[in-house]
Amino acid sequence: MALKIVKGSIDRMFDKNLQDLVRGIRNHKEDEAKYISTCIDEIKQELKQDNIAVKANAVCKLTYLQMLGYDVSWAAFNIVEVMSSSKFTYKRIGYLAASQCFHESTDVIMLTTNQIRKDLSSPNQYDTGVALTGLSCFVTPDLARDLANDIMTLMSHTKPYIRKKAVLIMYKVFLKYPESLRPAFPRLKEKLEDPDPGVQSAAVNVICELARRNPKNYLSLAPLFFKLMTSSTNNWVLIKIIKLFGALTPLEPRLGKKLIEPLTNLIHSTSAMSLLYECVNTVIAVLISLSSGMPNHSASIQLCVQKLRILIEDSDQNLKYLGLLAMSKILKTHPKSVQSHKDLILQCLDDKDESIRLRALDLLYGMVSKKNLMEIVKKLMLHVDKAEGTTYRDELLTKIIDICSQSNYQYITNFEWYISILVELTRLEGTRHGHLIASQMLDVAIRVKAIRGFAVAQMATLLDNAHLLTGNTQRNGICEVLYAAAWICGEFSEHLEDPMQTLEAMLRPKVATLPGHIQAVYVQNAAKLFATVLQKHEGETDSQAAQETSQLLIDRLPLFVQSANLEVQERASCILQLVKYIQKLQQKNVDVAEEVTALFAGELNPVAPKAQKKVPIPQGLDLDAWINEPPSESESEDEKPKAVFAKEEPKHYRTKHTEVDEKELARRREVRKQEQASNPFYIKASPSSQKVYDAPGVEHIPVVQIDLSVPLKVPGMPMSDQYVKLEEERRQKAKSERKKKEKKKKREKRGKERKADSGPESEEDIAPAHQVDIVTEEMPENALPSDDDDKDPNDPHKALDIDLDKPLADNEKLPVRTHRPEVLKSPADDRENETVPLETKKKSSKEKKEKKDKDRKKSKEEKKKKKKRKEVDEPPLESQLEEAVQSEEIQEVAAPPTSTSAEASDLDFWLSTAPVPPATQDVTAPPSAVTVATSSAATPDSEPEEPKETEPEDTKLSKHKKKKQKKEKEEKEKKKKKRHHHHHHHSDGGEDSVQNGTVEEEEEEEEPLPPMSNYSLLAENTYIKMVYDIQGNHQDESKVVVSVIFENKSDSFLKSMEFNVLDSLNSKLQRPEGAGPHDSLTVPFQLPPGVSNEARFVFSVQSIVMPQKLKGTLTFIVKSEDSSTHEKLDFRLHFTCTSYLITTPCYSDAYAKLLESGNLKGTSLRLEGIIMPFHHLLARICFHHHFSVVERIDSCSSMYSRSIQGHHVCLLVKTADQTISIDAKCDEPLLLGNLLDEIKQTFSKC
Amino acid sequence: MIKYLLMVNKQGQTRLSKYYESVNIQKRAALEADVVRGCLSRRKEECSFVEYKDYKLVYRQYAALFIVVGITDNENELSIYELVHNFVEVLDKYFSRVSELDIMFNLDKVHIILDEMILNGHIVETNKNRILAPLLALDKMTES
Repeated sequence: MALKIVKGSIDRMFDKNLQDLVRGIRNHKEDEAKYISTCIDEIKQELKQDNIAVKANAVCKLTYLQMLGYDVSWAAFNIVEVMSSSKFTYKRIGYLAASQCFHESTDVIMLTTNQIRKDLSSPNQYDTGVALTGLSCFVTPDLARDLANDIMTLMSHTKPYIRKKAVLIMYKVFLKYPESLRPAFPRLKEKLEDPDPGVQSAAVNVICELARRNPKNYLSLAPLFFKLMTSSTNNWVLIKIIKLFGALTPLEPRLGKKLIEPLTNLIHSTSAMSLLYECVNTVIAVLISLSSGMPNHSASIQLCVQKLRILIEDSDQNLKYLGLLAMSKILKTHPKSVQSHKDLILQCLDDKDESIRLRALDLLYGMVSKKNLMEIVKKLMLHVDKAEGTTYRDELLTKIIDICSQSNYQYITNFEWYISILVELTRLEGTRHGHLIASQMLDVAIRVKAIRGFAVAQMATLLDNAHLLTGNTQRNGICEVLYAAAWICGEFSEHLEDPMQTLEAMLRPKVATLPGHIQAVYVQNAAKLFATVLQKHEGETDSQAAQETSQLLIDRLPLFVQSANLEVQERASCILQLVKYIQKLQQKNVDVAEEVTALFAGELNPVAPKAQKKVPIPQGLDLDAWINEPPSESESEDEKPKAVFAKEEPKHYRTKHTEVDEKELARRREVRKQEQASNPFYIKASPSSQKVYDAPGVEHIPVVQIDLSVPLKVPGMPMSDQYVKLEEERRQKAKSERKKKEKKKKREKRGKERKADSGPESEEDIAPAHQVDIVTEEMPENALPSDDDDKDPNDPHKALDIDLDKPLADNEKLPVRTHRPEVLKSPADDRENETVPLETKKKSSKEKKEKKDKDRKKSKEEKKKKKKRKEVDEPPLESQLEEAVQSEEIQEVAAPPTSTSAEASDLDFWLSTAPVPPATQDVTAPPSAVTVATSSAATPDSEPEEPKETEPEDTKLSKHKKKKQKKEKEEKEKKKKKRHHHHHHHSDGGEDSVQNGTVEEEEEEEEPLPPMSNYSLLAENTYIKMVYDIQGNHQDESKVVVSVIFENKSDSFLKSMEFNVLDSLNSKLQRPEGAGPHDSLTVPFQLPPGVSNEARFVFSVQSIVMPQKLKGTLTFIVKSEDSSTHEKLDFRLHFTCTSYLITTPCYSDAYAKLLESGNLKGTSLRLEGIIMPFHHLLARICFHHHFSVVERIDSCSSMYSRSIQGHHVCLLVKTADQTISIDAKCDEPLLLGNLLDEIKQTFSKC
Repeated sequence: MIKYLLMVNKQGQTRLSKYYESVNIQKRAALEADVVRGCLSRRKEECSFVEYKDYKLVYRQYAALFIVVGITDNENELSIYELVHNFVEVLDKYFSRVSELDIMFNLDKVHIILDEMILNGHIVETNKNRILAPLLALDKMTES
């Protein structure tokens, strides 16, 4: 064995370490892959060795390789091995590797649960820290469920280092296991006021992240955050808090009002740009939420815009970028304030940095108005010409189109100008956005009727010059516009001046080189044009020309009939045959034009993109119902087709047809017409109502002479520029005209379907050049106005939308240790299944959970009754002091309403009285600091820590506390109640872990609690008081944890506390490595006057069958203002047998099996003269002796517990006439005897 | 929230990667290459924030080494920008004039530092001494 170790360490000397690996990779640049594969082989060898150091080294190298992109998932198990090393130096390598390589589907993760739990509760803070860090990377829903409670406990660890990590990890736990949010939330909230700024910051981070997704649940925290904001000096924390407020204000405008002032102060005072930026952002968000109802916020907006201008003007590109980004947020609600900085924004278009230019473009989008649209677009067109690189140019192109087409072409006053812009854009080389331009052309031509004539003329020119667009193969994207051009020319051919010429252009042989879908449109629209030409010629009775046209088609179409594209071919051959037939008719001198035109009669209206979705389902139509019943399974396959097609359908059809007679049809038609007439969305064939609007506008239309002979593509002659000039002239003219006509009634000039004008006020004055009707897109009749919920159902945050103010229900408590794998030892076989996290077994585990919940509820109800009775019964038995405590309790119970309403009204109060003195809500206001500290310090772990009622020492403690509080009591009463309430909340969650559903502590609103605690007095002198509790350690069968609360009773500062115990053979205090067996342990905190705090000490025990006492000493230094003295306090730690028991639930079937097994030996105990309700009695056994109720029938109950070393203890408790008999069974008679003695003692005290 | 932090050199080789959101190992390499390309192609005078897919990148260049941080859009870009510098300062303090090689040879230690600063995608600690405390404790442990 020894030899092996020596050999291992010699091997190690020759192993590569990480440095060697890195060096090796650098030296093998040519054959890196080969080198690495040999390295991986070596690593595989190393992992096979027993030496943990070798393994850790190998895993460390794997982590590096993983970073380089090599899959190392094969080593997952080895990583777990290294993780479980007892030496921190190796352990952290394991955790690092795990955090880099593991993910949710790594199956070895389920093996780590116990290891992680062990590390989490390790006395070494770095063990805990490294486990927490690792966990944050690979936590799975199972791990989250199993460890939630442990992590929650760590949130109250004595070390801030652990606390802050635990708090942050909780966020991941919430995401993976949303049920944990409510139980953990009170403690999380508490951490917002943690004395350590790091912990505070962590809590702020977590709540910010939670609140961002579901802000309404966190509104009640606003006062607390407000206080933090005004007191914190840490910019990182401030940023988070301010961000949180940004999320909250939309829900509560009053909050926004309150925020403006401190935020503007920060904006003025801070020198940190990041904070400034955040403040500006939040002020903007606040102002958006306030948008109405606060007249004097223009100053704040001005301030923001001013500051942003400074950012944008800064030479630092980062600030410039962020300034523009924030500016775009202001733009949405306060466009005017931004518009005044148009110069600056336009300047940014020339910036070297593309992302800045893009941001500026975004801004421009929102800055346009009717007034400046042409000007801005002109600038952009210039940039298009200058732009290098197609991506930016394409971006410019889409932006131009976006800007112009936004809100239904709201800002376009002259559509001729817009068409010209679109035509100019077709000259862009190599753009990908041909289809975008095309769809705009189509949209405008279809929806703006007044522009069709102009559009058609332009499109005809485009078609005529198609070779310019298609000539270059690189420009393929742009030929899409020909699709639009051809369609527009065909569809609106009545506007064409020379349809014949266009027809000719569309049938040129070169067209055959265009993409298929464009050719198809060409062919189809050639037919439309043909119809128009025919009509024209026949109108002029020029049969010769008409026949020539037919001949042209007959000559040219065969080219398309040969097309490889099916669509083109089909359409072409169809039309070719048609034309041939027409030609025959023409030769017989038959007038055909009318009939041919009829082929293409009717208007095509735009359909809204969502129209299909909005069609309402007619009443009585069940889309899920079968149209034809599916054939039954037994039917043979041959029969199916017959039944479906041959028999049923024809019949069905016929009956339907006969039902509707002519009269009925006529009537229906009439009804439909009526309906259409009254439907604003239905676009009538003759838009009579719209024509009314057209008429008065005619005089305003300037006679624009468009010189179409000017070739469109002559460089340096951008057409759209004409319009800019014209527009200016027109506006001038309109202005002067308007002055003349001032007395005349103002006419509504815009089409009625245009969106309401929301631009700057002067916009009203700008009359559109054309009276345009923008046809709205068609929607189905009775379209449902419902808005689509676009929420992602997979959003993990959805699950976290939980009401946090509601009191905790019983079934919500965090799963406790009994759910976890280590319970495998327990006799409950079925629970084994439950803990194995296998897909197939999930369902059953769920059922069990439900069952358990039911059980809990049952016992809870019992408790309720019991407690109520106790309230009435007990006071006479208790000492006077206790009475005082209880009366306080009762008072508390009577006073606060449910926490929800209390918090809501708190918030209301805070928000309504504008200058609230902070003290009224300030829980940690200086005078109360002492008590808060005690309450928070007393709760760090899962131990129950209600003020004790049954044991005199604790009563003294509360008396003592009371004395302290007396002075402030009057003014603080209200506050104190709140705090107490909070405190209970908290301990509820904590207690759960220990009590495990047996003694269900209720919310105090629902049920007043008889306070119980397991803390008993350890020692006390004038300076200090120590109470302690002992809990079995769940991972380790030989360890118990002693939690000691130290309370400073003096007015001096207590420091350098050292805790020492004289070890016995059986029980030893766990000391850090390297410490001698008699060394004392330093208590990891100091105590200011009046403060208490808790420390935990781990003891190892060998035999647990006997109770034992250990002598110990606490030494400390009392430091007062002028002197410091050494003090010493002796104590005796009493390890009862009870403290080795762990509350473990047991199902009745497993319990029965256990009893049947015959391995247990029995004893019994009789207690007489016990006057207490039975369930009260059970609760005491559960609480003080860590039992759980298995089953209860009337006055008889079976109970179960398990020792840390796996002894089963079963009790059968019966009661009759103040006599209680306990039959007990255990596999260790000695332990059982001692236990019963302890139980007896508990009840003798009553 | 921080999605990931990468340290990459000018050749596009990853020197450190830490993901706070699970990303498939196969996708990591492609993502890293893509991100690096995006940042390397930017000139000095361009700003340090890049819009990438549906989130943002904040990057900073130190000699031949780029530190790139992927953040969600609710994160304050400037504060992350400062955080990166803070991180480099801590590295500088520990390694005294940190170089790319230091980071490669001491990957595990750099991770410890990083884990002290960022946890679960959030900033936990910015104080240099407190960040280095666990690492120094570890160094002592290994010496003894």
